[in-house]
Amino acid sequence: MAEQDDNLSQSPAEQAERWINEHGDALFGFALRRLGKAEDAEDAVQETLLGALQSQAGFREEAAERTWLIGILRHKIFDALRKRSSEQARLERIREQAGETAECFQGGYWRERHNQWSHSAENLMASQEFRAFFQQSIDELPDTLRLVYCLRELDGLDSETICEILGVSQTNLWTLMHRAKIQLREKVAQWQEE
Amino acid sequence: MKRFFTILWYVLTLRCEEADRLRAVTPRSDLTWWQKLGEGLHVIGCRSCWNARRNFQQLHQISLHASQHEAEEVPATLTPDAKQRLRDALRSKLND
Repeated sequence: MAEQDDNLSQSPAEQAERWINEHGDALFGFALRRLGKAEDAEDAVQETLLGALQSQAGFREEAAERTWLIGILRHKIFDALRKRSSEQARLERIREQAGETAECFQGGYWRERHNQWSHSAENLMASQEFRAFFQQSIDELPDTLRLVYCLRELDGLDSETICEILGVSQTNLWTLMHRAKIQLREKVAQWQEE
Repeated sequence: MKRFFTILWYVLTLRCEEADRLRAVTPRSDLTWWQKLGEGLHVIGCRSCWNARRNFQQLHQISLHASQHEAEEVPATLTPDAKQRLRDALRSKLND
């Protein structure tokens, strides 16, 4: 509570400085994963901090400060993505990727027998090494697949909203999501084999 | 009647790739009843799809966990230059 009072008594410049030091990296990483370009991620963080300074009254004590800032950042990211979705070349690239066939299938059937993972999700997530590997695997997905996966699985947006943000049809979205999940499923399987 | 046969044909001829694509859809409520039925029946007769379904369920659990801890575990960091740019930009906008 005392810490909260101290924070409220800070000048906007001091507040911004503290946020940059305490949450800057996390906000930047969060934005970079979704926007793909450091420049765009920096802009989103900047707009978030500005927005946060202007609406500090919206910050409730029970919410962690970082969670609150990430909530604002999410909206800035979605706005940036909406602007991007009007770029025709980008849209065509997304549709092209959605039309490709996944490598693990041939003629609609499995190329090779698909096996169940040897570890459970609980066991995997208990390993710090695996958690770092999984975060890295998300970051290594191609831009569009990473974005679709983040919006649906990490941000929990519904299909309709994602389609509106990216300017794609639901069929394209499902196919892109399938591609993203196939790649992650294969990476996790490889990790378990090593 | 025609619709009935169309759905029956869809359910009976569903291939592994399409079944796997349906499995990747979350939440399941986004699927129609005949898509759920087709995938469910396909899985009964296809061991690989049975395993793939289980793996997707686990992947979903892992993603859920990752989403709850993402802000602490994202590896990217702002460079000192980027931090300075951010400070300068905020200072200038605050002074406006």
